[in-house]
Amino acid sequence: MTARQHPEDGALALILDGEEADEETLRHMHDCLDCARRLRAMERRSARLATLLAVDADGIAPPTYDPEFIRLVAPTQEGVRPPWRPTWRPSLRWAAAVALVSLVVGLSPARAWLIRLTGSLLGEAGSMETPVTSERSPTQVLAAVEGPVLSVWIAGDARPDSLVVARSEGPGAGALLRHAGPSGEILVRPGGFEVRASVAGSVLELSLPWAVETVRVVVGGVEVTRRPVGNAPGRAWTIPLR
Amino acid sequence: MGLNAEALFREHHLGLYRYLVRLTGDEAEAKDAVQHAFLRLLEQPPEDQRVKAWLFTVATNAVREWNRNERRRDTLIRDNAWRVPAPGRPARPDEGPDPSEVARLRDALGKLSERERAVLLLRTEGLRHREIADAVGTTTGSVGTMVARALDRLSEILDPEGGS
Repeated sequence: MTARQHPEDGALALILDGEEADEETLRHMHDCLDCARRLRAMERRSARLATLLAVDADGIAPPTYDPEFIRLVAPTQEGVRPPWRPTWRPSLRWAAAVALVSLVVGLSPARAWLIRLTGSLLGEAGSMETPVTSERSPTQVLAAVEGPVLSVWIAGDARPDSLVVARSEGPGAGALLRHAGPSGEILVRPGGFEVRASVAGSVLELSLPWAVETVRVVVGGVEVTRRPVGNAPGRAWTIPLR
Repeated sequence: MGLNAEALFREHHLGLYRYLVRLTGDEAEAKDAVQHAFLRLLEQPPEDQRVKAWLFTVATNAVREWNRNERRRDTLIRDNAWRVPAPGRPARPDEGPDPSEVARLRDALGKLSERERAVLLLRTEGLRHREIADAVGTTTGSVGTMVARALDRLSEILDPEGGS
């Protein structure tokens, strides 16, 4: 390569990126002002791209990875698991089992026991059973509370139109969560607090920054229930619909 | 092999996801590709390759493979321009680029070929030319040319009236 044979842009890009460039090119660059300008211009374009991409990065929020994926790859990754994706599996399994049992046994002693249990939890024994006629298929709604996390399990194909989770006072009172679709996400920011829920299949997950006192679920335009729930771990209630 | 998948995930998932969103213009596809890459990492971790480059290569190949049959990527870009999420917060006027310039960057990236876009984005992520070549399926020697050409094209699109 002579001074007149300027290196191609690709060779300049090697220098720009700190890749291994051949000696001849480097010697040429040392002596050729034109090529030094070309390299400088390429460097400016590159820096501008990097700057714009860095700014644009703020506009790309982290995704919500599939729970199964997170369990496999990053089971303890708190920073990745969205704050609205609670560690609720044990309570869900427990709740689902209870719901299934009560579905099977109908008005059996097990159900009466559940009603008594939930009624006693709520201090209004006997009033827990609130059959609501839904125009949709029979639905079973069950919720379990585990610390600040409320899990709502809904059997059948109905989806909640809205869901109110509230405390009597302070942040989050009367928070209204609207369902966003069969696989959507619910998001509300009551009083500066962020409440999120995700819906996957018949499972709706909620994570709340405060203790739950009241839950009201509306399915198919029909109010399913409005109950104080309490916030003790493992407590649950069931509302069968006919 | 003492591979700590969780640590690697924590370190690389967001950069990989952003790269893929920019590459594909499709958040769902980007998320799937990230998951695919990390699951592959669990199944068949690389033996003699830098993990970051390996992840980007696997994800890039996955996206290309997924789109190969349907060819929907070209149609998407041609018909719908470049779509990525809107910025979460506007840039402060006294700092950094104008937000409209960022928007124009997205448009401009969308006008590059997928390979040109991948080369530029992978380079920005710090991959070496050899690693970029592996990811996009070309020779190491041609990456420099592709980088220069893509930077030129991007600059022309951003500044059609000239300037660097």
